[in-house]
Amino acid sequence: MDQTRRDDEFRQYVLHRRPDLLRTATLLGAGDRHLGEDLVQNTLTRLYLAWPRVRPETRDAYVHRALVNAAIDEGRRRKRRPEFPTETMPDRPAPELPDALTDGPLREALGALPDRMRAAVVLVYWLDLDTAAAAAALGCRVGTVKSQASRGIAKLRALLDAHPYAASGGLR
Amino acid sequence: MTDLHPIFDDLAGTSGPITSAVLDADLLRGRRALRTRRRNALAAGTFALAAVVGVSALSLGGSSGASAPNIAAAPITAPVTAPVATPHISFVAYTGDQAAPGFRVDSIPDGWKMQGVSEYTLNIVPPGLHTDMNSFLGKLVVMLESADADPSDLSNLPDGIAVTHTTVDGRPAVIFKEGTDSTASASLHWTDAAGHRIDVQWPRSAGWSDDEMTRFATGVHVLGAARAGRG
Repeated sequence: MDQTRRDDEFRQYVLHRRPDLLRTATLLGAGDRHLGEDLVQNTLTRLYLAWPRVRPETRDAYVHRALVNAAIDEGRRRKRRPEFPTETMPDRPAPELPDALTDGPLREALGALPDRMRAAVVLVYWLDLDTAAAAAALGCRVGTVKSQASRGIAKLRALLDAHPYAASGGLR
Repeated sequence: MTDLHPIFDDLAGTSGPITSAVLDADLLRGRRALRTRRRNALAAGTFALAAVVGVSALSLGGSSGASAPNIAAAPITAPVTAPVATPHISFVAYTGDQAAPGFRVDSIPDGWKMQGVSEYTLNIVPPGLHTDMNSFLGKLVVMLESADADPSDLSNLPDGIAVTHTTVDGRPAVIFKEGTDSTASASLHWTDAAGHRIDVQWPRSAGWSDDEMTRFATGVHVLGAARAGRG
């Protein structure tokens, strides 16, 4: 495949798919938009490298798998990365109220899920992939995806229902 | 019960049409990665065939006593400077799982681990290295020569590539060594009895000798599902 054709096809794919990829990646990163952008960039670079050998009909499947792998790898990296205590708390922007009310509890709850369980929830529950496609993306069996997604949703509901904001009726 | 869908939607955020600057940046990253991979693949197919042809010519000439075409008489050479070496690591028999579609090896460096095997590559990594399977820096990697390598293009050999002719299982092989810094790499290329054009790459900082690498290569097996990469 010549470079021009590869570039043209790749641009078309990115043009149409990038917005949805970024939203999915943001959820895989437990609401971290910057991490989501990193995951998308990493995944699209891999896709460009693999372009000649990825059939058009399997591009989305390839991208989902690469995205999930990148998210899980990043989760492992963050766990290995040591945290350094400081004498003073770092300055952080105050959360904007509307986002804090709607996103905050889910962000915390999603972040509390193991990486693979979070990925199963995002792929099956939010992205609405069938379990076979989600299993392919996660590199595991269909039964594992079903149980991970189901347990993940139950855990999310439990975490959210116990949240003070939800308990006050804010998420219902 | 909490309805999660709208909360997921909110958390995922909105994403409007992407700009041409974002598109260009994605494309640029891809092109840059492709250039790096092609460079790392070292010209492999390109140089390997040249070297194999050279070795064949030398071997024919030697056995017949006749004057062979002077391909091997003008070997592609470059100054060889050893990179900074780390404590020597020997190869040991590998007895672990090799659920491999593409490749199998008889030995690995002591203390290193099998990172993974696909139809395209077999990656062996030192302790603590967890980069993506498509990144070969610092790894011992087995693969087939790129299907896109142009073995006839011998005119653009980069400077600083040192070439050593050797054999693997009695078959002509060539070793390329490039660079002298911590990212310096070397690669061994040969064609096995079944006609597979094989490429083994490793970090020069590991300090393995040519003999060690040809012995390792003897234990490389290409399986039915192995495929050559592209690009």
